[in-house]
Amino acid sequence: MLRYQQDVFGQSMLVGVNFDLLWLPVAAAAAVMALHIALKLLRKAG
Amino acid sequence: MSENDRASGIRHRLADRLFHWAMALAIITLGATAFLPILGIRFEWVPIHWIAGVALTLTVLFHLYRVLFVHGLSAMIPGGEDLREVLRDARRADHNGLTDAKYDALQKGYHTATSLTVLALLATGLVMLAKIDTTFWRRNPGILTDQTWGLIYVIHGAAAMVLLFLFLIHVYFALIPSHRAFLVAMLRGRGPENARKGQS
Repeated sequence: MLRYQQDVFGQSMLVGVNFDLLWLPVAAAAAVMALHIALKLLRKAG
Repeated sequence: MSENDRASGIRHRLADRLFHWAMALAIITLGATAFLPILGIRFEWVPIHWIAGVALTLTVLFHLYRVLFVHGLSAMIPGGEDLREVLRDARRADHNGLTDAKYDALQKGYHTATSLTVLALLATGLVMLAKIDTTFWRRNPGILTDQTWGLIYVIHGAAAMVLLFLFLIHVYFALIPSHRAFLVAMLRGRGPENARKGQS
């Protein structure tokens, strides 16, 4: 979740979030859209 | 918004529409300059990013002025009536007895989430300006410890990813046919007076 680097003294230093997780907000948005479309189709069918 | 505006079918005045699209332009620029380099597209993103960030700050200050001195806060803050609306929608019940409202519960919830996220981005982004040289100031990263800088970067990065999610669902809901009238209102001004109709 987070990114760390070694500082000049060799200690671990927090430097930000891990952007390898950039797919997560895109996937979450896609899930919300899919859920919304599914609910609409279900309500139309029901 | 005045009664005259409502009577003439104006949902969003020109000043508020200009704010919305200026904010959108700033956020898209900020998102592109933040995420494209991460995806491997290399360019001088820092100057564009901080200038767009300052522009976003100015648009938000303008919006706050409009909220505090023109519109008032009450139309957009979620309350008990919005909770009742959500519960009724969940049960697929009608809106009988609910008050009419310019913004429905989900619009207010979305706005609250986006406001908090953008404020977190602006607060941390403005502090991060201390790390760059510009025409107006010299960089001075010594104002905070490395540990605090790390925390600032975490909040900024996490909020940026939350805003990406919020942006994507905003575009989706703006484009679906059932919300077309709200999109047109944000372009031309005229649109539905109330997003929530109480049917009372």
